[in-house]
Amino acid sequence: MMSSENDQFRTTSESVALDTAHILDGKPLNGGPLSEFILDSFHFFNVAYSASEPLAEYLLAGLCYRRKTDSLIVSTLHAIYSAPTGWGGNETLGAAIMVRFALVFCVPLDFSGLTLVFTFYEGAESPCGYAR
Amino acid sequence: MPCFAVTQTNREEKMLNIDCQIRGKTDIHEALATMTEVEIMEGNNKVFCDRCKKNTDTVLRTAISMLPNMLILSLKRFDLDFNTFETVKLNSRCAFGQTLNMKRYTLEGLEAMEQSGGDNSDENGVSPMDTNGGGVAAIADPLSKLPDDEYEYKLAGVLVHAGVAQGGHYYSFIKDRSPSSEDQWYRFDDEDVTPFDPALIEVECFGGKVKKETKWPNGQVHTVESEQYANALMLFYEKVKQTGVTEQDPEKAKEEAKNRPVLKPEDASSGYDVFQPDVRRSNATHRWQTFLFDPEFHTFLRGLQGMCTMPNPDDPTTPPRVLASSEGPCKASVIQMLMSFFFDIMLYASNRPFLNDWVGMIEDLFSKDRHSATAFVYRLAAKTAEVSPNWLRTYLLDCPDSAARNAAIRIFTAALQSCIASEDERRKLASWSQAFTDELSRFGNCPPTVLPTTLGVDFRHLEDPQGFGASATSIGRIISALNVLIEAIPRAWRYNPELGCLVRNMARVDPRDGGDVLRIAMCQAMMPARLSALVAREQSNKVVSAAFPGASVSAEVAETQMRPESNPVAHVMPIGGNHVMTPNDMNTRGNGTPSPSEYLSIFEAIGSLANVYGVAQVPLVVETEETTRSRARYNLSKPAIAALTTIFQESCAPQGPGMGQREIEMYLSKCGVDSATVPTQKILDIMAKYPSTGGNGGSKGNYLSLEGFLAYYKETVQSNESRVCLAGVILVQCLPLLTHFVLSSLYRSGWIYIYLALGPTLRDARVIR
Repeated sequence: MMSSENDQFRTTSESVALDTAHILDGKPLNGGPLSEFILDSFHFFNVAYSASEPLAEYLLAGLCYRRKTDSLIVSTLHAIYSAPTGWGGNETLGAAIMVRFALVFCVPLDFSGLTLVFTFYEGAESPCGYAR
Repeated sequence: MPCFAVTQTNREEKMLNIDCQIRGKTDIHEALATMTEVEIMEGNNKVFCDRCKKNTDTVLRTAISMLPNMLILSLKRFDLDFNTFETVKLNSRCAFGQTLNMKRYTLEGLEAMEQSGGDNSDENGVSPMDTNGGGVAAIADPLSKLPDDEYEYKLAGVLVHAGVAQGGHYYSFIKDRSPSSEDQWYRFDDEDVTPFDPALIEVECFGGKVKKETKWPNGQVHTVESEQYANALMLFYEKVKQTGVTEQDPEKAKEEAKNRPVLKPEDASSGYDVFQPDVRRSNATHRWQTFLFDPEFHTFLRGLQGMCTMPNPDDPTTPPRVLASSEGPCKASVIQMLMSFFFDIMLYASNRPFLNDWVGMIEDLFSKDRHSATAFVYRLAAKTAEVSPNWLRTYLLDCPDSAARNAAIRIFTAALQSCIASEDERRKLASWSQAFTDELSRFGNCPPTVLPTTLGVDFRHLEDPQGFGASATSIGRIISALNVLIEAIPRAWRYNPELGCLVRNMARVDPRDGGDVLRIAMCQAMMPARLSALVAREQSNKVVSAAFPGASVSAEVAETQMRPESNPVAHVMPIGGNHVMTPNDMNTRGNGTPSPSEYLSIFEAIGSLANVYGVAQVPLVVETEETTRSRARYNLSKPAIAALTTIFQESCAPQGPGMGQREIEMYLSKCGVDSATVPTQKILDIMAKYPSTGGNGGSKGNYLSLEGFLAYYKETVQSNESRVCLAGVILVQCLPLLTHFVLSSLYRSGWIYIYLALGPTLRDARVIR
């Protein structure tokens, strides 16, 4: 049924994060041995972002869910640092913003020192992040 | 003191062919005339005179002293660009005729012209290209006293080069000169020999520029001028009046024969004997191919295939009639033969008018008959032990034809889908998955070492083709083969985005039909990690790089290791017709790095393997055969209708039979359209125009019905802009959480991701709030 007029529309990243959490239903994604290392490569998500932004967001959300993502954050920051200025760096920055900001701050996270852990709170009605 | 004794010295050189400089020349006569131009050797270039014993001013000239029976003219199209010092190809127009008179380029001809006080220019106004005679002017031609037939040639063949200086393709047009023929011309292009109309020689061989006109439906004509990259490189002219041994002076011939060294019998061979076995083999191949690619034969096989899928007239629910168990041996043989024909012959044909029919029928057959599908999967898996007959390798790694690859993928998917539905196959595959896990456990956690692609010796029996009927799993073997191919892919990248499609299709098999078992097996075989290595290449995590060295090799290194048969240059030139090359055609080297869009199927495969099943890519619209004012008409695809139906149901008024005015306003607001900009009258017009419901006895209702909603979209998708908007609408509405998408970035060539609504199956569609 139609949602009420007072409903606030969520952002894309929020929607993707919630959607993925619903699909995975509390369990981290099981892609088999070594699949956790996919998260270590910002380049992987950079290419995915260039191929299809929505698909990249879903993949990222799925792979981040209940997984440690500190190495991805570090490699993303490194990519931002070494991205060329001007047009040349736009694509990298776009992907980095998706990884670093959009999904990081949409997916509820457990911030501990330099380690970022993405977790969903069971029963959370809306995704939110907090720093500890 | 000048040398007053005018002397003439001739120095003869044998030439295999005559090189013709064509830069700045419009036809072959201009090029030949350049060859015979006189050159004054004076100053530092004076030539030593034997009579005067000193260097003297000299006139140097090249002329032909004796004409061969077969005259070969080589057009110098490859030249050095002095600005870049790179070899370039001259594609300028150089005309040549069906006949060629060489009189004016021979020693006799030049002397005759000199004696008459003329030069070798066309001062009498008769163009050498004019083969119809010179009329009155020809009477004064000093060359007329020389007999024409001694110098007359007819065009016998043209060697064409299509491409650029750095690469291209050679083929020939050759006239059949056998006595019984009627001057029929043929095109010889690798193994293809096809009749050729000599009237097209100008278009196909002269070079130059060609204008192509495109007429738009609004009447506007767009003209593009482009160079013809296919043009003649060598011309073969045959002498009309052949000079041979028989025409020699008999006494002289005898004398020559005496002085000739005695040859051994093998030395006296004409060379024909050497080629005879090859010719026989080629002829036999040609006969076979003529038979195998004969349309009638294809029709016969299609009929046979149709019989295989025909329902049993007695009981339509049982397997097709020909495939009934009572006809088992026949069934197996027919299906096996049809599959061999399809994969080994039909997919190699250049003309495949019924390819879609074939694929559709085979898919239908496999979906209805699991035994046939299983037999095919067994065979497909068994073939992975070989190299050349390996269909997986051929169509996922080597085949340069995307239509053939796609057809193969569809059939592989259908067969695997049907096969995994078998309880027995699921059980065997589960054992195989466990074995793969055990195999990997030997390497410990996160090992920086190469990981296996197939099961080791201890578990090899689980994927041994000999045991497919017992404990071994054919699907497990296929997964192992895919692992091997992923390791080899970077060296043949251009031809295999379909490998990602096959993995994606396998990962999307319905869990109720064994999809979960298949997905787990592929994950245990580390397919997601392997595919990620393929994307990230040398920038993969070091553990992944070490585990999959082949998949993670950098694009630059992979390019240097490309196998010759997978060289992208090999297939860029089309077989037929002169072709305007695109930058992609020419820029075939140095582009080993795939573009991100080429990875799309890989990402979909990873997403599907990871159970993030909102990554289905489906067409929203399908083009119909109908046209309106020369424009194609579109229909909504089934997934689009399903998605729009969900949207409609979500947007209906509470307890209402459809969408009222208020709901339409809210709907537009959700779609990103500001309801303030949409006049109420427009909404009323929509409700009036399209089927509605819920009226109070009147002809029109107050609510837009589902039929009306779909009819509205069916009409609006006829324009491209609307199709883009529709894509956005479906996306936003299928997942109402996604409300702020930038529509333009989502629409890619008529395809769009419909999230969630397409879950594992459509009936699982749901909306999360």
